[in-house]
Amino acid sequence: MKNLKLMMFAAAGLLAPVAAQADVARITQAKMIPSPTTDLAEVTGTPARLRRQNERQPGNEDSTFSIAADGKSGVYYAMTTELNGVRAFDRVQLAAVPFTLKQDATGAVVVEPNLAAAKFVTRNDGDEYRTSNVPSAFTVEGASCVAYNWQQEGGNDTKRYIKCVDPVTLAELMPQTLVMAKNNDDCSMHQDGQDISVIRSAGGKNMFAMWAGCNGNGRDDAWYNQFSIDKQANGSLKLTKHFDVSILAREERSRGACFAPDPADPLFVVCGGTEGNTQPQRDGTWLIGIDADPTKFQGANQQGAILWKTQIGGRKTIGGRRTYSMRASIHPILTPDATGLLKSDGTILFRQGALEGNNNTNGKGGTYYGNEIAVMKVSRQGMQYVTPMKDIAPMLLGLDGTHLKFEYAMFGQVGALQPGFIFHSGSHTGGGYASQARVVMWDQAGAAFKDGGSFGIATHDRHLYPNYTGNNPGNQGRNHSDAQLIANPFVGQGGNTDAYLMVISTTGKDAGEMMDPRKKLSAFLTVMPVAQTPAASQPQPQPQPQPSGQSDDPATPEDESQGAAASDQALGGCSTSGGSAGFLSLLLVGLAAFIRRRR
Amino acid sequence: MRTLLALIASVGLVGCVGDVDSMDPGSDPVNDPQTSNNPAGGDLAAAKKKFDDNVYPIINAKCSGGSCHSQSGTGGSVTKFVATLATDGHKVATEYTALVGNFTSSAAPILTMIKGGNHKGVSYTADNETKIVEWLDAEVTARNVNPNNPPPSSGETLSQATERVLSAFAGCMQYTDFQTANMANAWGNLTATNNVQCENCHATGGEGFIASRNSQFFYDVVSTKKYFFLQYFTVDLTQGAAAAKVVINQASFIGVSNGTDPHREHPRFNATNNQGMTALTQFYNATMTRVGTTGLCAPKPLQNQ
Repeated sequence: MKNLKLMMFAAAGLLAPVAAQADVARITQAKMIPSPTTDLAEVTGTPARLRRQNERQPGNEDSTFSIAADGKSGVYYAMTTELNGVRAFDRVQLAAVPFTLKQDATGAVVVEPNLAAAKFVTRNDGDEYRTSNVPSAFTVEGASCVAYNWQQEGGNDTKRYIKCVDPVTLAELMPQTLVMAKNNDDCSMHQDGQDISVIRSAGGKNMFAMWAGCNGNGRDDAWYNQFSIDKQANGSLKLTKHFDVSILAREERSRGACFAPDPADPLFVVCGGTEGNTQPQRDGTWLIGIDADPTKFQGANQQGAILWKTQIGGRKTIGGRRTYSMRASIHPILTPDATGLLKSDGTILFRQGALEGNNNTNGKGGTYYGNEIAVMKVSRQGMQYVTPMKDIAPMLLGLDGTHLKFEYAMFGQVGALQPGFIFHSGSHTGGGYASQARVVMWDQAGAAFKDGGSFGIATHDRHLYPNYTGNNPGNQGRNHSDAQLIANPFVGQGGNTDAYLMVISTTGKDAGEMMDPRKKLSAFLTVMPVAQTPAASQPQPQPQPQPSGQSDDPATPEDESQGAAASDQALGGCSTSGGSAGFLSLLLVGLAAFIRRRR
Repeated sequence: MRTLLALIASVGLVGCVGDVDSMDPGSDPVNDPQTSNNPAGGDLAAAKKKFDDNVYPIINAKCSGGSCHSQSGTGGSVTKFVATLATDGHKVATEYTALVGNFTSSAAPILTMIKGGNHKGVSYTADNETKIVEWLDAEVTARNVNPNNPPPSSGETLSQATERVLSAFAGCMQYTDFQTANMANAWGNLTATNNVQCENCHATGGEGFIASRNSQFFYDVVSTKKYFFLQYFTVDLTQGAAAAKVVINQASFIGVSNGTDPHREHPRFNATNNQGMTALTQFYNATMTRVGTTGLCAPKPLQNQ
């Protein structure tokens, strides 16, 4: 995600009572990459339906984006098969589209893509055409960086790389650089939209935390991976890996995330994820404390960096159904200080789903009976509940728990902002109509969560085209959205009173192409105002740093001038994770071990 | 909820489960299911004119703001019932069950959602409401009353009758009948053509439809929340207000089951002959038995959600 400068802030007692419903104002969206015109899907039957076609690719998939420090521009990425009429090398590559945020005639914030400047930023020959899988974008030193998975044709392992480009010209500022690999494993997967977060950033040096689930026949572990991307004298960027440490021993779909949640202890990182070698995973959801001091730990397998590890969820029965805690998702709670900067104080949101698994056929992977959320205070000493775990699935009636994107947000009005989050849910059948952003707000005083309502945003196909046109159709393949909370750079201008915006990238069937299954997915970016500034209210939120999302730029000269104190940190984490809802991954007794690995 | 595109999950052609097999597969509902939202096959021209003249301007003004419900809108709600072209207005609006319900003013969210007073600050004037009610009355009459053989008038409107019989039916629903009919297993575990079960996507009400093997939760939702209830049941008004009765709603499943747009890619299933319908029939019959027994249960209005 982005740039969050964290400072100590006692969010607790400053939160106003929860409103009955989030005041979500005008929502706008832009088509960032149209569906391919020559790369059409195969269809079958009358009326025609999408036909399963191995490795044909869904057109646009796994979108992500970075936003610049000023909040007014960025780069949109998607795994794309055709860009401006040009087919991608090796069927699919990572497309990049520079964009700007501006106001329309009504004052609403809109996205304007610059397709003329768009281009493919990878040219990888990939095994099973996974050339730039689960991309995750963030901003570093003014550059747009993007992490992605690639398994080289003829190679044995999927590895994760990072590349950085100029956000306007897309010129390369850091070549494709390896950031995570493990022998005989596929690296790496992470919480949807929460790949990389900033630990600290100052003086051109930027240190990052990363969850890396590496699934396969090697160690088959989930790792905490720490690295830096530093500015060089010639203006280029250089990635240096610090260390990694195995934090979950049984990896299948760990999909975790790591954050430095407390500016008062800037080298403390907390990670959350799911353990187990089965689908669904049956070894519970976990929270792990990490000592992120790079002077103490260097190289691989630094097990001494683990401060503590505690299981959060596990097997439970809901309504007579045996479920397992899955898809742990975490995010620090952020609130603005007197100057509008967003800060955390070591308080995090923890979400997990309660899934009854059924992933031993080519059907859908399971059923979510529960959707649980808690608020925790974390430190080097461990975790304490602030608001105990609650199942909010009944409250969120109408929201399915499958492939949810979980993103921190604030709602209401500046001066009385309500911490909370959104769940973004897409269509299982391709899209063509609005996807759902469900708002949930935390009522700290009442130790409860409130439903803030459901809002339609751009279409998103969570399953159909990625599955039917991906590897092993019917068995695996899913899509990911990405989201970031940003301060509105246009607040107060042209009558715009939206203090914070949730920006969400999706790929799905265009409404106008819904009846033509040959047309593959288009890529979209939605701007959803989530909090407003009352007239004459002060302070105004600062456009920079961004409250959630990609990396920051605290190391830019302007940021440095604000003081590169130890308490001045960035947080982040962005993008997608690997895997699908429909894998089968069982090892049959007596047969050679074989684990299907997508990444 | 606001989700109208009720992508109802699939019902399977695959074998029955649990107690469904032990039930009498040939048992019929005590009243015929409704298979169309225009059961009388009435001429809708007059109703359409009321909509075009009086209602489209209202919803175009009040519901399309911020693109919330505008057909061409890119944000806001997932229910895009305000057509871009006024000439398409009636067709688009009446395809959204979550807007019109069964076309009665007591069950049509176009009124019930707004009258609660907490829907985005939107409110109707008295004149607005009158025009919407007049349109709905025309729709429900055209769709349910054979003009050549109209039922005797009882003084009760079709809307009032709808509310009356829905409340009576809901008040007579009981969890033990729901369990005995095996509703949770039959619907939750109903398997579609590509080996997915209804509950995989709809266990917590996804896409505006609920089917779950969490029996108590399933029952609690269907027995209290009107929009989820109406996916399974509707009201037969074809014999007039006095004879109004709740019937099984097959119409809500048919378009989804056969992939009628916008459900083209929904897994296919047999909408009328499946384990879910068997269970639903048993539950319906048990409830109707209680409805028909004087003094057994009190009416319970369904919530407008």
